[in-house]
Amino acid sequence: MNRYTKKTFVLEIFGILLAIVFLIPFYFVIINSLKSFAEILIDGAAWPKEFLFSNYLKVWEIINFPRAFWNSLIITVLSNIGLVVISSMAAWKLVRTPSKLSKIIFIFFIAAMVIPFQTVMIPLMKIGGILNLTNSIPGLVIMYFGFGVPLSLFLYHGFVKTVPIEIEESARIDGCSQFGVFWRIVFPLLKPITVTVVILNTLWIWNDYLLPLLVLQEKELRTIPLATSSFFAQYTKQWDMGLAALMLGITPVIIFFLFLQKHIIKGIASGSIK
Amino acid sequence: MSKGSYPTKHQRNALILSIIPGLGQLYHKQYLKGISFLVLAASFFIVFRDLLNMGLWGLITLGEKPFRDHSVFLLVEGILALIVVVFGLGFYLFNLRDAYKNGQKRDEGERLSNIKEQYRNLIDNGFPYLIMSPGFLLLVFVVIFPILFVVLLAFTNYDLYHSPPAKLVDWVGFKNFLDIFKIDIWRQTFFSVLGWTLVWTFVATTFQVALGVFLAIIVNQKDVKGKAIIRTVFILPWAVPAFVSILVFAGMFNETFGTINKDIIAFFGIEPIKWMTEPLYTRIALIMIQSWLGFPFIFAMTTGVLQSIPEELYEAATVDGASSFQKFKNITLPLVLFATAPILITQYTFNFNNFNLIYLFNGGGPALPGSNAGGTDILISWIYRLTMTSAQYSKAAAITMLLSLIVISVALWQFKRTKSFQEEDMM
Repeated sequence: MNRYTKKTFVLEIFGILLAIVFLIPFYFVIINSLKSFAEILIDGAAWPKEFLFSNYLKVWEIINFPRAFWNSLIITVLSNIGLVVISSMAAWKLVRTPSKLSKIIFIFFIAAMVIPFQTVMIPLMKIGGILNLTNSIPGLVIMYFGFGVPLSLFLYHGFVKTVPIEIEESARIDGCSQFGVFWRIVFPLLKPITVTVVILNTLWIWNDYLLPLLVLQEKELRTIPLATSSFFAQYTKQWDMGLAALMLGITPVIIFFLFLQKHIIKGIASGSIK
Repeated sequence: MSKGSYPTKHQRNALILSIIPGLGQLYHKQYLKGISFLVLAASFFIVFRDLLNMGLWGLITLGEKPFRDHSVFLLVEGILALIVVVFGLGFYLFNLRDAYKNGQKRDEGERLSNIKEQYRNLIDNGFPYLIMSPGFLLLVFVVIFPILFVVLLAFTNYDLYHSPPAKLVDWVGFKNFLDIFKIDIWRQTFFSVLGWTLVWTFVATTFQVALGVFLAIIVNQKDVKGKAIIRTVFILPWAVPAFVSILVFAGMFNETFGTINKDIIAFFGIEPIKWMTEPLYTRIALIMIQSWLGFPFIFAMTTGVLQSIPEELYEAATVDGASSFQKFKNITLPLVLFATAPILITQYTFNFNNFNLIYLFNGGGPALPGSNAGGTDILISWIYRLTMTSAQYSKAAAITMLLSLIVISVALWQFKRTKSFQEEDMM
């Protein structure tokens, strides 16, 4: 039985063509990041006359790339650790203590998930200023805790339900403390959903632009997205530098992405279907 | 058993004594608990007295003397005081309930728990809530606090002409809401922005969802070769931060040097299109860009779902003589839509508030004559414009509330559906 029919072939060609169309923006970014500004203006689509790798070197210096990379990294890592610890424990106990209060608290978290960030951002900045959370990395991380907890908790909540309670009970009888039960027995069982939570939060926080823009003004504290956007001011857009900065900025994410692609697809599906 | 049928009246006595927290517990001879309640209550008043005093006064008056009283800070303090009061009341109710319950126990002749048991109880019952409290407190300060602030702001006259510290802000009741619907320029702008917001939400989201689902189904056909590579390419746009892609597109759509006008359209012999200055074309461009930005997520999700559909379903259908289109229509599509429906709806709410794209692509522009909103402003970017460029804080807050109303009702409807989905248990 020959299953490779004409129809599949047509579909395949169609898929490849579409894929190429979708890659066009990447092509523009890469080739133009290697041109001089004048050359970009003359013809954006043409192959560069000579490859100006110096763009990258200049950008590396101007935005202090290692610094920005470090800032992004520390913010993403700290936020992830905090979110996993806070929301996994909370979700576990919310599921295990089925009371009215637990239900109300859970609804509170869910309701917060549907409130668009943009509606709270301006008052948040006012309050953040008063509480001294602005212009500091710990302040930003605390805000990520607040914004990230609802979704993470929601995902954990769905997953904890599938973990059998009997193991916990027998461990308790054997004299294990509550914390011990959680960290030694429950948390390892939550690993699949932890992977999903970490991937989703990492993609969100690493690429986030608006919240860091509002919170971090000092040049020393800039994350990669902020540093990149500094080349794209309202009226003066330095395309040559800016595109090189973009390339530098997205390379780590793309590597992260390619490595974890399988987990991402699985994670998204399992997170959304629940 | 009716009340008062006991020889003792511990229940009533304890409840009355507990009007001062702790006394009821002392009455029950639970000394440690009683004293700690007393200390807690006392310290609550000592620590928060000033805040409560100042905050509640500020919340009611919003300040009396310009320069000395900063209305907005007073508002913030007032909200803080309100939150503290709510927590305080919670504790107070708990204290009353505890005294009452224990009184009931004594009336019924039961023994009360001793210190050791109380400690165990506290650890066992309190521990879950202790663990939840960090997440909950953060939520209160990062999300709930700002929401209260917006809600209250919508009922004030805070704008350019009433801005502290030189001027005081006042409560004006529903005036902002009435103005939006009564004053012509506000009403026209509001409804034209709302109209475009709805069109935008519906068209852009449907486009991206259809594209994502369609491509996922094509790529996941069993016989297609090079699936892994095609799949990677399709997910790639997701890896790039949205604001980066938007800026790149803004460059590509640039009217003078952008590739789209210069190369692609010129190739077909079409005149350059005014992507950035003609509202209609800006809107078309925005919808195309959102399709590119938004479909990878749908694509990834649908791919995940497709991989979890059991092969037997298709085999059984083949045995029954179903054509491939029938298989698609009766197996694939229903299962995909069924599994992803809740998330699909969140895509609509996301686009409804897609500030980044509208703002970064063309700043909500092009500007429209005689309107304080740009030609492609959706509600959320209009609110931003009102706040940031024309300092219409209270109007912006009122519009924020209207917007939240829409989003929240859609979300509630969605959650109701999600629940009914779970019960049917199709997969």
